[in-house]
Amino acid sequence: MIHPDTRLITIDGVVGSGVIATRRIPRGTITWVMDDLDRTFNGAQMNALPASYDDLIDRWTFHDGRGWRVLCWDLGRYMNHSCEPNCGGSEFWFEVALRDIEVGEQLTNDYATLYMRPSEGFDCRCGAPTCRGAASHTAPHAVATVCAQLRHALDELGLVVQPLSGLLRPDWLGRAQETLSLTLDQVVDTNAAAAE
Amino acid sequence: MIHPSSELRFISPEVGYGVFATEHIPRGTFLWVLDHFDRILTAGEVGALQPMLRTVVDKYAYQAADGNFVFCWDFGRYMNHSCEPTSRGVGDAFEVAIRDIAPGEELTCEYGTLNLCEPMTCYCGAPHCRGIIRRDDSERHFELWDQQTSSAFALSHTVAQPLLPYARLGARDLPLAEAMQAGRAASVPSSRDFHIAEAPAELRVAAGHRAR
Repeated sequence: MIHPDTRLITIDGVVGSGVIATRRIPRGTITWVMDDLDRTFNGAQMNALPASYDDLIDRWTFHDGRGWRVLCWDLGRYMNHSCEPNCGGSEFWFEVALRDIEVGEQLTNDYATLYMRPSEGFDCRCGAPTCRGAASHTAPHAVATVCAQLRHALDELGLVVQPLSGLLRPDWLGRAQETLSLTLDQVVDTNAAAAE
Repeated sequence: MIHPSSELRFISPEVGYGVFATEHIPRGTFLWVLDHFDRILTAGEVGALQPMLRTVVDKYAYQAADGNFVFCWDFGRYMNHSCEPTSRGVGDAFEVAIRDIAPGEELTCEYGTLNLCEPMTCYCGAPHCRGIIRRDDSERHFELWDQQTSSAFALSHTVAQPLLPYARLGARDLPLAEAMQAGRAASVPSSRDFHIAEAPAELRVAAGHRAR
């Protein structure tokens, strides 16, 4: 479930829709948690889907790097990519604000952290100063940057209002903290291995 | 999955959201199909949901003929009821347009076949609005409803069906899909056959708790 202080808006004809904050969301706020209405598909379940679903899978689901495709039932699936994202952590089944998100600002992920398939790549127009120009499945340093920001954001979990805290399972948080304590080089290596 | 020529619009604080046609959609078109992304929950699973999620399911899911609850993953779950709807349910997997739909018109369906756990007050404004929508309405109205669905379904092979490749077809739907693709007439199951007499016991108990 996505943070309640969000709304779906139309961005433009190319990008389509996006999710914006309707109130300020401070760094360290849990912005999304996988819940019992989100759907997860393992490899066998994915293969059982009709071929007509390939485009839907690319468009609406993300990969968690551990064998699961996740389909959000709510606005979570409309979150757009940014090369300087303000949310991260989806591979741990929850997301946290990496910096303060202002009213009207889009909630974004770096799709490189979502273990994209090659077919999911696209030209990026996010407008960030460090925009890579193309969102692709290989950007290990971008992933490492998000991991570093996430590690700091997790330190602030207890300092901010958390409407979604009831959905966050302690073992998911523990796993994130454990994984993020790896050195950045280890994260880069792990991610590169998962992408292959 | 809701028809691609549609969009979600906010109607009012009282009604909430609704789904509207963005192009002309002819009678016989499937406006919605049950698909493989829709979430199917048993009554027990609904009863075990966390309160935040239970509220969502109570509002947006419907109970199918097999007793399970269907929670649509896309905007299909925002289709409102009308006593003179644009589509009616056919089998377990289809909503078929029972009249031509103009761009900008709201896509509506019939909640009287969705096994409502509690009666719903209706403000649809149709000339023959029933006022209150009940779980057993199909017992009183099935003849008209079945006649409308049969004649609309007979046109289904003559119009574009963008949703058909995504449909999750059950035992009652396969013969319908085959007949449609062959351009044959199909015997459409009666809307009465989808009525379940009683709401699941565990959910009735939960509703009582909420009322207090």
